[in-house]
Amino acid sequence: MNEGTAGAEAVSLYESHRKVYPREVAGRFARLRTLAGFVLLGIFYGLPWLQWHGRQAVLFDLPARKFHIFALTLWPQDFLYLSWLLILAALTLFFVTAVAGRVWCGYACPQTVWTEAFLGLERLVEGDRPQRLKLDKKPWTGEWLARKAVKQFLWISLAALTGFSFVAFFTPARELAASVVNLELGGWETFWILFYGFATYGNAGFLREQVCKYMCPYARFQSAMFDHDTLVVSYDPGRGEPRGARKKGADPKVLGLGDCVDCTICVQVCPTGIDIRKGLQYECIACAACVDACDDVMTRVGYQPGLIRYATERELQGDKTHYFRPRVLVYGGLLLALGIGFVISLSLRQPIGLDILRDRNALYRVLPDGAVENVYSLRILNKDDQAHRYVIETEPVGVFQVDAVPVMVNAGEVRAVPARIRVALGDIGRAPRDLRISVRVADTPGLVAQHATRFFVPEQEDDDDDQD
Amino acid sequence: MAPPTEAEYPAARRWPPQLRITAAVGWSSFLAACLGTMLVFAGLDPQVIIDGVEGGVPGAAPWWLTPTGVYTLGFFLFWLVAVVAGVLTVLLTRAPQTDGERN
Repeated sequence: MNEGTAGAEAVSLYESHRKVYPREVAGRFARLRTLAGFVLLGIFYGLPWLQWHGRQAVLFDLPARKFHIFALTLWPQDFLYLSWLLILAALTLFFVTAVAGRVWCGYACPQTVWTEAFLGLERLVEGDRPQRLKLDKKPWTGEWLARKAVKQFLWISLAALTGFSFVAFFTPARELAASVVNLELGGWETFWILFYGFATYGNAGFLREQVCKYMCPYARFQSAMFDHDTLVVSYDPGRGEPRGARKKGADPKVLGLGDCVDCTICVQVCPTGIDIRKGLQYECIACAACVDACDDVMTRVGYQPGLIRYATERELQGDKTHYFRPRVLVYGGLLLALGIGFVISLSLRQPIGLDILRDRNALYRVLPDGAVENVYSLRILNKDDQAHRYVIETEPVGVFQVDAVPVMVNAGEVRAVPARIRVALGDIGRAPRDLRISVRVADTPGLVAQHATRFFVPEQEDDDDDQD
Repeated sequence: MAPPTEAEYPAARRWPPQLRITAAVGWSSFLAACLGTMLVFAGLDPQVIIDGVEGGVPGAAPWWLTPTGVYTLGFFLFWLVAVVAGVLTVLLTRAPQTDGERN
């Protein structure tokens, strides 16, 4: 992309990092990242404790096979909505990437957020980078051991809390906490807390940016969503080049230099170790650490900030950025259409479900008075968040007599109800073989679930094909 | 654990190729396993498997065979299968060039 004239200093970044130990990055994007981190971690750790009408507000109850998301309860039958939601999430990512580049990576990706959290704890205990390096020069001393022990304690605690919170999305948090306190944790819950905790510790404590560089598929295909109008962290070569060191107060025009003082701080603060002045590279996670660092340097040498900034390639070439372009309109249009469809579909979703199983032991039963009876087992799902009374009926009405009392089903529960359906002796001839059993919500007019099934009668001379 | 070196964050570290491949196979198969677990268990109730093992005798299944256990074992089974595919892909893409291809 916007390749700078950087050929001369092809020194190993690895080595330059050994020599120069940068101070921490501070600035508006660093603050924004910290804020985003706190908000997202707050949601993750806090959500399992939130209650909603007497139950956990967000609970993916896998053993009971139902997902509670505030007022909404999703069942395996609602798998469509889950897939729909994933498609919406993917489209949102595409849309945001096309418009603003990798903001997901820089601010919201769990890998970034937890890495920042672990780094924060490291800084808290071991100090900033120079202090850490000084500390590590004398290993196995008392202070070194003490600081490392405290850091490891904090890291492991945060990892364990993360593992616990993860499991608390699947097992009610309060019960889970009680069983941890009473040392009664189940085998699988223990396993998952340890597994997720260990993964957090490894990913955020040690793997860090390596995950982005070597493991993340999004990092590899996100460039497909990029174009010349995508907002990316960029170095302005027109303004910065030719780069070079200079004395304070010297006029760069006289020296024939651009605004880049070649302090290499932008390289030193980069978590993935790239030189943004060489142009956009796939390793760049758009964390904007170099933007903050460069702005700071520019301000201190008395230049305008923004030598490295969020900009589009077109803007750097001196043109106007096209915000409404086909790519953005297509992603945006699809996103809007699917989003609206999702909301409409979800609001029109029937909060009632019905499954019918026939009695496996007998197709029919002839009663003493000659009437024929079929027994069905109904499974009524109340997907609503309040209890309802359900009335069982048949269609067509008339010849079929239903022997089933209205049933109450609690919110978010399934109830199995036997239903005996009968046809009197005189009506057998004119009873249709196909019928529909319906379940009507007594207190909500118009709310009905129906299921087609068969009605079997004894074989008769003039009609011998009904037991097929 | 070896004491951290200067190569630690935020300095850039580079992984050797073997480690990169291991990470790529491990992580991509993990993502595939998540997808597989979701798709299969959306349609399959683990209780069906447990009932099958118990054969009509409640409590006959071993203690670890709970719905959560079935989900977990299913997930790791998917992961294992996906790792096999990943390792084979690496193996095949690294096949040495033959005389035929050189021409």
